[in-house]
Amino acid sequence: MTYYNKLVKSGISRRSVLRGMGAGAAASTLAMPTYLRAQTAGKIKMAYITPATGPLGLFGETDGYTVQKIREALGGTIQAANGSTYELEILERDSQSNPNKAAEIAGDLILNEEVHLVVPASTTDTILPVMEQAELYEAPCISSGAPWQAVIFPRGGGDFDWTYHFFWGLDEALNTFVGLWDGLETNKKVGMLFPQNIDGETWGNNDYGLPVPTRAAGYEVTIPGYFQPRTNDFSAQIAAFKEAGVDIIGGITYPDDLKTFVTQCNQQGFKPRAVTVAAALLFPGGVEAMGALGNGMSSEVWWTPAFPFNSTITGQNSAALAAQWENDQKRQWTQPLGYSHALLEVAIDILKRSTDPLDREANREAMAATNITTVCGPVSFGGTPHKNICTMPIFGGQWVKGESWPYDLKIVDNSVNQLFEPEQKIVPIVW
Amino acid sequence: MTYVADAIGRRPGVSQPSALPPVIVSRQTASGRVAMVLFLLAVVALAAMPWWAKTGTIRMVLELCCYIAVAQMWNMLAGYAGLVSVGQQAFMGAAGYALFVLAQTFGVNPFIAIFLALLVPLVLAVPCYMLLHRLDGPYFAIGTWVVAEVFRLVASNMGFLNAGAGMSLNVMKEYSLLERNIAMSLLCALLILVTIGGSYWFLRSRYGLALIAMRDNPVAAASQGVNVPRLRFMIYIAAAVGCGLAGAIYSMAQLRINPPSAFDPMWANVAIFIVMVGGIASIEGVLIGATIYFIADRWFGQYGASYFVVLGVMTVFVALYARGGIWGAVSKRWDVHWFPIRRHLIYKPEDKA
Repeated sequence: MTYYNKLVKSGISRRSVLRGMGAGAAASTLAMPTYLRAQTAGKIKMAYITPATGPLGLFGETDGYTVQKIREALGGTIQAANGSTYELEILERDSQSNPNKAAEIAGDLILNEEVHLVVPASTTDTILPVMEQAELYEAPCISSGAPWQAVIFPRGGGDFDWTYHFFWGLDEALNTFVGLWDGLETNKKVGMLFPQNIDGETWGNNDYGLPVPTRAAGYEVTIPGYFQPRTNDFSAQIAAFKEAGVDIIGGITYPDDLKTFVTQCNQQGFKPRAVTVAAALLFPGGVEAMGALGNGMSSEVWWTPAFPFNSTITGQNSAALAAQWENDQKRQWTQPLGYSHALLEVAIDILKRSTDPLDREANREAMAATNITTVCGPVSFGGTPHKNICTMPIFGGQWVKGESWPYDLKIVDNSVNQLFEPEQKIVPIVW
Repeated sequence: MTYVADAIGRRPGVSQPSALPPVIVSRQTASGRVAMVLFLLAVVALAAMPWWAKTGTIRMVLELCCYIAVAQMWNMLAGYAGLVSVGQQAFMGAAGYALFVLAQTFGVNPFIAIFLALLVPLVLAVPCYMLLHRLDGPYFAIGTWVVAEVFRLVASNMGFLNAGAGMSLNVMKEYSLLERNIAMSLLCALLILVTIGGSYWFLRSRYGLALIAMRDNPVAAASQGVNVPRLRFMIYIAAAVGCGLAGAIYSMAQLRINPPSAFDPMWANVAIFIVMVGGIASIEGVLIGATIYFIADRWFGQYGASYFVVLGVMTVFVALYARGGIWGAVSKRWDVHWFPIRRHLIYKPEDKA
């Protein structure tokens, strides 16, 4: 305890220890930052919390990469609207996909590092606990990468002062699913898969979840109860779907669960014409893991290289962003890439427009007044559907045999947002 | 090295009848007395945090206190009672949920609710132990894990607890920052006082003597008249309530609870690491181990998977080659226990006259 107190008071950090170790060698260069600081009006600290590791690591994969790109593009400084130039430090932290960790880190960054803007990126498990901390300790917090209902309703709904979020809504994703199924000839019977967790319960809710628009569009719905994430037996669900004579599978799962489910469907002779699942089919890896069974899977689309908007920071369009990623990483682009970029676009834009980027209240006002077109589409908080939310466009997509990669994601439905025409028509799964 | 009669005086030196050599039973040592003063000062310092620490520091100290408390409870179970549990998070989560339900759903003052919430792990621990005590060694460990998983599954199916979506503690916004800081500081002080101070007091009592005998060899202890099953039951219940208090305080600071975060198996890993590396079956070891873990987590947490690998390798290394942990190595060299619980017989023939 006494050692710890000493540690806190003297403000030692791992970084300062490491810096101390290299101080001798770097004595001459150490003078540089002081000289630079003298020219700027101060240092803006931005907290960037992402699930870089853990079960949701795939969602955070593009975050660290994008931060690096944005840092390079900005060169460490921001020219604010008030005429001053500020140094920008982005404090990147890994939430380990763990809500407890995310809350601890957010509390630490807000209270001890005294950051001026909090930016949690990707997934409800990371965003929601960070939002709670930001709201209680009064730090402006901008986020994206989770359906907006999932970060508003679990906190009791209502209006919030410090936390703003932009993403598509569940209702739109659901309508996209129905739009996809309308494009196919089926017996109009849908079986649904929902895991027993925050996402599954939001999607499966009988008042505002996927069953509502599906029934409204004239489909018959079968829900064999919630399943435990990472289960290895879907026999009960498959038997229920067979008995109901289901032609379509809808819902939300993680990639591992979907792979298990589809493999067991194939083994047990259950062959639906469409499998449309959120989350699991976002990533090429999830589709490739299913081998030949991955062909024809369908899902909602957040962002693809086909989006027509240009970045406000680098000027690149979506196709260029995807090409740059594939070139740097030697891997196929993934959908969160667009949102990783858009989130930082909005965050930087807030700091630029703020009357005093070193003041949380000023940043909050700038955040509420956001009006910018990012690579994922326009962002502004106009009060609908919720004070703290801006809804983003969403499309329906299908994974088909690819050209340079095993599978390509093609936009096949635009019934919710008519920003542009679908690339092709949805086709039934060939088992 | 000189020993004097017990300064606390609860079990003063016993002058023996003439048939036996005149000895004094001594438990307190000079280092123990110094450490006792420092411990009490630390508790006072914890309680007074709003006057010397920033909100951020209080929050960090709170996390450290939770690590210490959970590790000490695990230490009592594994180090003394021989009950290796990997499921103490069951009681942490249960108390956390009880706090959220009482404060958020029923509108009880959260700082009162935290104490009412302790009834839940207390009541739940009894039937759990009734089931678990039939299992031995590794089976007991697996059993406790199963119990924690069952708790998690039950919580994720109860609409009353908002199922998998979890709950938020919005009522905390009704209190000012200063009020929250004072409450959190007092809770930290109480947590340390109850878990560390309580364990120390327990180990120095009659039960402690029996517990130490049991730690060394349960069969031999039973043959000497120690009621091993009853003692184990007491420790299990006490550890459940201690973990419950830590869990409730921790989730109050987190503001959110959902089944995976409430019943996070990470707590078992943390407790095992702290106790194994610090030194099993010693309070000093817990304090050392918790400090190491806390600093390691702050400095190296961002390295993700490789950081956990290093922690795991360290634990395995200590378990294989340095079974007493850091404190074991220290106490082998220097006899300066901070929390002395050994009895020393001191032969003083000149006192006889």
